[in-house]
Amino acid sequence: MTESNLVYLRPVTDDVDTGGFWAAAQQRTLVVQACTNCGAVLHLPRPMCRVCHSFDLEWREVAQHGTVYTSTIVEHQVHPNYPVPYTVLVIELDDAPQARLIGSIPGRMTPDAGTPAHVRWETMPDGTIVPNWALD
Amino acid sequence: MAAIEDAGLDPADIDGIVRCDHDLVQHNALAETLGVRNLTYWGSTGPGGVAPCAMVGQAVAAILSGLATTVLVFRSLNGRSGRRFGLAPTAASQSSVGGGMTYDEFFMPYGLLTAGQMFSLIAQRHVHEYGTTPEQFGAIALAFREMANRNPRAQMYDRTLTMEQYLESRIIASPLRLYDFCLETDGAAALVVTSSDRAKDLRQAPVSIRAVCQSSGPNVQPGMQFGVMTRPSITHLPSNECAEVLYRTAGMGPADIDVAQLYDCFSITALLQLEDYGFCKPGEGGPFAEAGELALGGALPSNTSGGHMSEGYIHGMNHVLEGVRQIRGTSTSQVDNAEVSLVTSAPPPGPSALILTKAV
Repeated sequence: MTESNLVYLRPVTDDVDTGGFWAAAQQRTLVVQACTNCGAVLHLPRPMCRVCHSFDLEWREVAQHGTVYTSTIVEHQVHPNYPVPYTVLVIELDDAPQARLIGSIPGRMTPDAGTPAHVRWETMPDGTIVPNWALD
Repeated sequence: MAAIEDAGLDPADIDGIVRCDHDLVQHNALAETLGVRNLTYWGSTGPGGVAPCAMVGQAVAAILSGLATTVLVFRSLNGRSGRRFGLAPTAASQSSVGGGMTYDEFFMPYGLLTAGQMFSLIAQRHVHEYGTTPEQFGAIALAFREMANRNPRAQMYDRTLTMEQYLESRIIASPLRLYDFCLETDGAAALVVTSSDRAKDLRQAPVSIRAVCQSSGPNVQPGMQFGVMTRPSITHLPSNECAEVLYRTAGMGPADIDVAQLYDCFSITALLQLEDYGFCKPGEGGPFAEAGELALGGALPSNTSGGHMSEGYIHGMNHVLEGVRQIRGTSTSQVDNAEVSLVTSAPPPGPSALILTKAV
């Protein structure tokens, strides 16, 4: 069951601000945007550092581990290709808690806040690789 | 037209229009249809539910700056028969999501598709942090339903709700249930804003706008809504900063508020604002509601027309109208001697709010 694909809607992967995240994902590498001048982690990614206003930004590799910040079990289906029940996770990255990423797992779970989780790479039919999450 | 007639005005008196950015009706179409002679100001704000109080603020700014004298503020939507907010993109043309600073690519591929699911994530975090219970969320739904049961215009006027029915209702996205969600509504609401001098000889006793404000708070997240998930805390929304600005501008505090219309797209939204606007401490919104404080006779009678959850979803503009009724003394759940009336609009990504008083 954990091997099944949950992601149906394909993320836009060539956006000028966020494309670097998805380019790295294609190599099964997890990155967050960071400022090379002041070191701030910038998620959601943007053209300019919101702390020091530098344009010198980079994609910094981070560990593929995090913890659950919150979650919800979706019981009411709103999209034909997202069958319920499934659980949406909000994950805080171990290496950059300021950056929260979203994951989803099949079925019903209500993990405690702080439950450890790791990246589970999903390959979509068109070859797009998406970082999803699973509980440890 | 009803709002203009209620004020004892003629469409020719209207020289300003403010609309919500989500509204399908443009200012020029409305002006032409009503027979407005010459529009000297038009504006719009949003996104969506953030707009209503901010729209009134734009009207006030236009009047104070001399751009207009008499401004029509409106919201119209076919939330049931037209575009339904709770649906995800399903068209083939939308098999890709995100890009263009929407940031949906970080959220929607994982099945986080709707505002309801997002607020459920916020509600679950509130449960994690404070132990908020289903009965406490339910107390909010029941309080607003009781108000609607006295309001013949409310969609839920003739449908009562018990705690047993609430607890037995189906989960939409945990921990939120069917009755924690707002309604889908076809409807419209409008009001007329003018100067105190101009208002003196109009048909209705005027209601004063004591204070109106918008507030993004620091580090406002980009994107339409899901960026809220990246806030330092998702149980502390920018309504906190909005309250600070509003109370400072009004020279008032939470203790001065007699009655409130809180933006309630979901029960959790109203709950967070009880905390953010200072009616109780952070984390105590649940016990506050459970103690009956939102009912007539409680510490803060709220959403006295039924709100989004039981009157109808006019994207927060119905809350402004009900705030006015409380000062006029014409609500179907009238608070005795209501002199200070609070209205709020959607918390993320940066809310607006206003305080109404009797004209001085």
